[in-house]
Amino acid sequence: MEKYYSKTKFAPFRDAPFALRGALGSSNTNLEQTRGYTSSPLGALRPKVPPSGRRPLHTSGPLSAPVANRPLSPHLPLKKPQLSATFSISHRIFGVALGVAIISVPLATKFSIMFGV
Amino acid sequence: PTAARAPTPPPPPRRRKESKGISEPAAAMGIGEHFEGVKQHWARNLAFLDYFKKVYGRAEPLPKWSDADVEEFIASDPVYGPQLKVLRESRKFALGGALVGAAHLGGVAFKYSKAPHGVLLATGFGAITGAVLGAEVAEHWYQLYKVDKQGANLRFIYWWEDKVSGQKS
Repeated sequence: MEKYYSKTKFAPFRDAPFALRGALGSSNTNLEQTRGYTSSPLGALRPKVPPSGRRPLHTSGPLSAPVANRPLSPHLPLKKPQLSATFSISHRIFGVALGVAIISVPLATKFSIMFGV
Repeated sequence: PTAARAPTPPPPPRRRKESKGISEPAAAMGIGEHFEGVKQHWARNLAFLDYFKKVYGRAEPLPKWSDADVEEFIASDPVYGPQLKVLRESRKFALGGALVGAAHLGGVAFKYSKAPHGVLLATGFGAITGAVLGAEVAEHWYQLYKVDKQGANLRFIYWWEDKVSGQKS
């Protein structure tokens, strides 16, 4: 396990709280390693996950041992923006904005009277 | 040619089931007539907006007042002074509640969440929720539900307006 942790981009932040790891180490994109992952035939030879018998399931860490620059699930650069996806995203954004606007009217009313004078 | 018409008036238009209890033929009312009927109702319901017009919608805004001015008003007015005093005291409840709520929800989120922006959002939401809860506690602690809060604020605004205009002239 240690061997795999030492290769990840999160390796320097292993002691940081989990919530901060993405923020701390998200900026470096290593192009060589990405290319190596996608095109090297040797990548299939190395085992990337430890044998599943002793793998701890209930941990605060990621489930599978993270391999360096493993492609992560929403493959946004590979996908053409679709109308449905754009509608869905903007639908959520506008929904959140509308909710915030609706809830802040009574809140602003309440607190403006309390803090006004 | 009118003699050929049937002597009985045409039957009233059929109503839907919901409006069965209404004796007045609601379907025959125009929009303007309907508005005349409900105007007073909505004027009463929206009367609280008048406060904001008087406080925030002034043509030229009042000069800033300090806490000492408010204290002076509280000492001078036997009726609305104590009301404004407890209204200002209730701020501490809201602020304390905001602090407790932010610390609690933010702490839980920081311990368990995997997303930094989630921790931030949870802290903010905890602060808002705690402030609302603290304000509600103050409402009962000081029996603020008996107080006309807008009225107490407006009394001070008017007092301040008189004081400022008296100083000017």
